[in-house]
Amino acid sequence: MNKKLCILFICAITLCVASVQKSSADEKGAGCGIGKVILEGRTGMGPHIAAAILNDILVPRSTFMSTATSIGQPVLGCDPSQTVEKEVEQNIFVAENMDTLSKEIAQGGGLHLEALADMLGVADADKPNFFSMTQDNYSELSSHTSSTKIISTIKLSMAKNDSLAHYVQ
Amino acid sequence: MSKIIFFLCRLASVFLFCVQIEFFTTYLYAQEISSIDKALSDGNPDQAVSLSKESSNHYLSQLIELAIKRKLSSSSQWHTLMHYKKNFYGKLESQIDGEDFFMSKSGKTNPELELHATLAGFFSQVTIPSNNLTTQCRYVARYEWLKKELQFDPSKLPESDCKEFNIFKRGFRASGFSVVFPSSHPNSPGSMFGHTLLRADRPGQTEATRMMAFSINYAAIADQANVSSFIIKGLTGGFPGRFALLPYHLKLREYAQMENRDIWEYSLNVPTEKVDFVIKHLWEIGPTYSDYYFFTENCSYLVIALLDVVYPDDPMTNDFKSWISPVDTIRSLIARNMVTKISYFPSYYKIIKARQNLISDTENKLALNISLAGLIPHESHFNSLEDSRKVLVLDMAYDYVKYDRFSSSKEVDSKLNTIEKELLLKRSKIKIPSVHLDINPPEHDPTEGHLSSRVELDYGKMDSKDLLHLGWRAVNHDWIDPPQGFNDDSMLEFGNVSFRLFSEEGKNNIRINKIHIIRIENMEQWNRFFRRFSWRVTTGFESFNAKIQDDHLGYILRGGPGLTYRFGNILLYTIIESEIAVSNEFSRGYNVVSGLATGVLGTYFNKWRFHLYGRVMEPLESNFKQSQTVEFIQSYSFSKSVGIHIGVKGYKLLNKWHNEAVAGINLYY
Repeated sequence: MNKKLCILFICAITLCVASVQKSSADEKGAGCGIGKVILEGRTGMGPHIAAAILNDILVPRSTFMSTATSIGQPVLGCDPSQTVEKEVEQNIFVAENMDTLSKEIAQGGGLHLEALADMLGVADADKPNFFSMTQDNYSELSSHTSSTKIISTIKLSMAKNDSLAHYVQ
Repeated sequence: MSKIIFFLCRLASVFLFCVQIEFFTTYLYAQEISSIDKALSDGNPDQAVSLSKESSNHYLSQLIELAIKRKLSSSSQWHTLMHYKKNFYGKLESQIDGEDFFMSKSGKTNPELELHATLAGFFSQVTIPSNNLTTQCRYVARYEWLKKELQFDPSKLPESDCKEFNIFKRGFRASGFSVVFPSSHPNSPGSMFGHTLLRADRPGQTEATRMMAFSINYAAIADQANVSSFIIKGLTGGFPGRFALLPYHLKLREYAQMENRDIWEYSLNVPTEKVDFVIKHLWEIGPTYSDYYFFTENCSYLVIALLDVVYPDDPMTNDFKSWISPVDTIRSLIARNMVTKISYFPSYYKIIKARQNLISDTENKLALNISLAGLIPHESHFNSLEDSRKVLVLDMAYDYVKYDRFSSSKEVDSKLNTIEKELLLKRSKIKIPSVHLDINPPEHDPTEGHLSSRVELDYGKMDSKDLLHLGWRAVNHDWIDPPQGFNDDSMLEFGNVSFRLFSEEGKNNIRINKIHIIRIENMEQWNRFFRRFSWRVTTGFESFNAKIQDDHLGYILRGGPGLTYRFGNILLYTIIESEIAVSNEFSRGYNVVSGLATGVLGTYFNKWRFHLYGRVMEPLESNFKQSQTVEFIQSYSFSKSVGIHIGVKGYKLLNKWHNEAVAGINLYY
């Protein structure tokens, strides 16, 4: 009798463990381009993240997105209509990737930082300089939480740097 | 004189009569036009179409007539734009399900009426409810094509300025496409077959700036259903599928969370002038939905359906008869010489493993400790390191913290926690750039793997009985299949059926050997940091040798957790396994067994694979089911499509040992 209970017990545990899968987000995008206004009445991780991160960017809904969100579950996504302006595109990039950018700035380079450099027009030859400059300014940059402030701080530092100043004229 | 007056009167009356007719016909003409216009302004294109077929005075009638003459509604371009396919009954039906996609009430099943209603809609300023755009400004691809085919006269059909679409198009800045394939991992069954999405690449794009490009992703909008309803709905079109657009950097962030997903990017040679047309069609189809079918009208199907609009004469969607796996859609693109470059980006998991290889065991332990408690408790040890080693340890520790955060929560939070801040601040003060990790891509990309389905034909003996074994597997991969393009530490099978034909005392018996619905096995190497258990699950029907003469099929669910260690090409695993079997053969109607399985898996030269294992199980009802099993299977692959295998198995039943040996061929198609 004891042996049977034991077997049943092991069985229950092993099958439970085997059948619990780590549930993944399954292609739901992080919120992007949805400001605080749209957060109201919506649940789910996207709008909350969007509101928390994009607290200084209020991007209106676009035609492509608004239709998709009017039926059933909101589909969270950015829309090219919203990032037509390069500044908005840069802001969303920095806001949503702040941790990766911080890491790359501290480490003296990385792919996301390189993408930011490209967006600011920095030529390949000047990139090592750009990475070095941002690393030097890590403390100041990491004290800001707003993407617009971070970008403007970077631009200010570039203006003070001989080889990078001409990019921000 | 009176004759002249009489004649003049006659002339006048004829003239008046003609004028009356003239007025009357003009009145009728105006009535016709105005009734068509009224139907248009009422937002009733079907009625406008049927009215215009009764006359030829409205420009719409002329366009419809020309469209009929040129047989436009049966052209392949129209069918790709409307996604018309032959349904189960052989009738044409659009695969798009949202009503707002059709201008005509019968548009879903009638290409001709839909085309005519679309033409009618172009005349109207009435907006379509789902996104408040006029027909011209919503159906921009249809408009472009019909305008070209029918040579619209702008004085009779004025062209609208579609501001919203123009902004949308400008935001894309697209000049080409890539298909992105995040590979699957067994830990995430929803990603079982991988996934594909399209990315709209920009001119002069680099590896870094590719992150700004927009990804075009089709996915099921699944509510938080429980697992079984998720499976049922996903298979039977119970969820709507929609397109969503995200800058690629956000997609990459998602995949960093699903740590085991390597990313393969296949750049396509779609010419720039065709890219615009695809974007136009995306605009048309974006606001609507299509029922999502996991095996057929899934993410990768819609990606190629989108591309089909620019290759209407040879649509890729016609390459597929039954189920569609993402890898197969990429194979289709490669077969058409559309792929110009293949790029590989390792998963976060692989990045961490590569970093672990750069440091010593002690340094790794230090990094792990720092990631858990911060720098201060380990200051003295840390400070004793050289700067270059400090950098490696800090980078490792940071990755550990980040990975833990990603895997322990669903949220993609980009705020740094205290330890991360401390580590990065310290790191920023050491002016040595971080080591660039050189992670070699696998020798073969996923498309070079064997094809999903397999047929096996074996000859063998079970005890003294001759047998023929015939098996068929629907999809995916097994321990003895050719390894190229797959991970060697996991397997996934869906639909594995086999029969055995026994020849015994002159009689031939055919029996179902097994019907496996799903089998997933994940033998990941145990890692000090990842601490991942291995596990496996099988469910389906198997035949039980209850008493020697009888064979019965019963339902089984079997699985359990374990540990795996890797030694080069060998994986050594131990699994604690349990099985529930349901069958009338059991006195209770079910039986339960639990026990231990241990085995060795090996892969050599990409050709030879073997699996040797032993299993001991204690059944609840002791007369039943195999209680001890030893099996050794090995296979040799001649190519991706043909292989041979040999298997020997011994099992104990009712205190008696039985033997089985089979040898045969595997064919992949």
